[in-house]
Amino acid sequence: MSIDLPNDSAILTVQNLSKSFGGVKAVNNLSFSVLQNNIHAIIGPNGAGKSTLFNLITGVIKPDMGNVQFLNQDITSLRPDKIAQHGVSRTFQNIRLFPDMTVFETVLIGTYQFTGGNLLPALFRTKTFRNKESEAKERIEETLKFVGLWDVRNEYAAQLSYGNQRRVEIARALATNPHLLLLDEPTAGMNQKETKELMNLFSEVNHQGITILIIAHDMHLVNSLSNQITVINFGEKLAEGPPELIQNHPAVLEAYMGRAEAHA
Amino acid sequence: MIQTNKTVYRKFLLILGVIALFFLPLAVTNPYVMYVINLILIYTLLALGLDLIVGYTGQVSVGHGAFFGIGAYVAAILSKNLGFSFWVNLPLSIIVTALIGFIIGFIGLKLIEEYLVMATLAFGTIIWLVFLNWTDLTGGPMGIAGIASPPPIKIGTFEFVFFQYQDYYPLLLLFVFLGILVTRLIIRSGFGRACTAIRDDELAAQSMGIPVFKTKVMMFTISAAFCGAAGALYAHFLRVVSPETFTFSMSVTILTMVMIGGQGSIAGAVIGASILTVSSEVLRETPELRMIIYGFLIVVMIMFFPKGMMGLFQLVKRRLQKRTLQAAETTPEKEGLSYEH
Repeated sequence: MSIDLPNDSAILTVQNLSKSFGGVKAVNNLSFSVLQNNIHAIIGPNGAGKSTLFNLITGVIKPDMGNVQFLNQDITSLRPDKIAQHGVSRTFQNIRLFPDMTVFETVLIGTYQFTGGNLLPALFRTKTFRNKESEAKERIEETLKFVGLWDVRNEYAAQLSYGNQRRVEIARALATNPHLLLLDEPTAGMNQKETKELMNLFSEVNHQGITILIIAHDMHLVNSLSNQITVINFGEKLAEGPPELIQNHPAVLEAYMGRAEAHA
Repeated sequence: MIQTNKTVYRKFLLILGVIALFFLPLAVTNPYVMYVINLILIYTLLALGLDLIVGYTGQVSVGHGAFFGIGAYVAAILSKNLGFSFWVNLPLSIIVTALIGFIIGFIGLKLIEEYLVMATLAFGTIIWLVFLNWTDLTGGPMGIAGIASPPPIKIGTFEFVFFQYQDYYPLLLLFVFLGILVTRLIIRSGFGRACTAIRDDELAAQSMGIPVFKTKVMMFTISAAFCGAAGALYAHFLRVVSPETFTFSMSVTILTMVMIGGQGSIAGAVIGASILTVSSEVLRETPELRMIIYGFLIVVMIMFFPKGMMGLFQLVKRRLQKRTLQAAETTPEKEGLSYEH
């Protein structure tokens, strides 16, 4: 899991990224870097292009211009599965679980690149195959205990509480053994207690050496959790810096509070 | 301890049941009944194969009757023109069908949902037209007759012949068990789990590092190979193949088996194949009524039991378990006294 990079070098670099849908510029000439071991937050009003940015980074949609570098490799034109294999994993804004799978089975999907999709070893149940399978299952046990879902491992993931479904998604993403974890509004729709518990989980994940890029609305969460914030609006970068700087940044205040003040 | 004893006991019963199944011809003396049982086994292989792509991977095909036909015609042509025996034809049929399955999958699986259905429909129709019109090779509407039975196998003083229905039955049963085994090994592997993930949520699966297209094509190829095996077994069983067997309605019949039995379930494939083979034998005199009934059944199953008969069984089983669990909770004093074996 550890990579031979100094602690402050960039793990992900986005350069001049642009994507338009029809006439709408969802992401417009956006550049920023995520530093190794940071918890980097992306904030911005609704429709600012945050989720589009995630989809561009993970290869779900292709950019019109610009590129994405991950660990000094260009991943711009790669398929989502290839990008995942490079060590970028994600959760979705609208939770996407596998409806017919238990918690354990769902998280096991994340180990695909280690158990492999090869057919012959599976058909002959070779020793390597069996070892890899049991290794994967041990790792899942670890991951599930880590996120606190071991007790509900045999329940259908889709039948869990909203908060726990989110944990399943995070566990599944962790099972791919990522260097970088993208979280798309992970605390949306959660109460304060759930939000706090999840925040603790994110810090623990980060302590394991996994860099986190998180989209969030909750300013309190962003300020206390992240050490770098990029603010975007209308697909463009508005401001960037550590939380204390962003909190008082005039452009940010205008984008967020300005309208609120005007309405008040 | 009781638990492990119980599973050992179950395994023992299962093995006993499997062995007993091989001796079924001793109990069934009516050759027509034996014929229908053999058909059920062939259809079971087809349903198992189609279920791999429909039930486990979520990609609907209405062209698998053509793969069945290709397997059957390859075996028939090799047997008739080159005099190859069943033991050579079977693997060759599987290889040819898998190859064509790979090509069709490679083209068709770039399409999604209804477009894939249309592509497989077109493929099935084209293959049927080839069977019907390439008279030099396929015998045209008359088909190919006089395909040799599998040559006997001698083990010591025993000689296994495959001439009559009851002789052919153990061979078919063996291949059905082989098919079930392969299916189980596939679905309980990383590859099989990847297919299920694709079925449930393609984007989520791909984001977990699963190469979606490649996985689908691989499963489609295996699925076609199953039908190819069934085709070769069918050709050497009936010893005649003709195009009217491998029409669109064959594809629909196999799909109906999967739907009625229960998608993504091995037992479901067996149940679906049994129900439909018997019902189509019963309705033999009125084939037009058959398609109406199948259509009706598919609609009913999708509306009320999307997981087929197996889904229904599981529902009943879960209800019963709940009831016994509740009963056990209300009478806790009995718990310590009763134990099994």
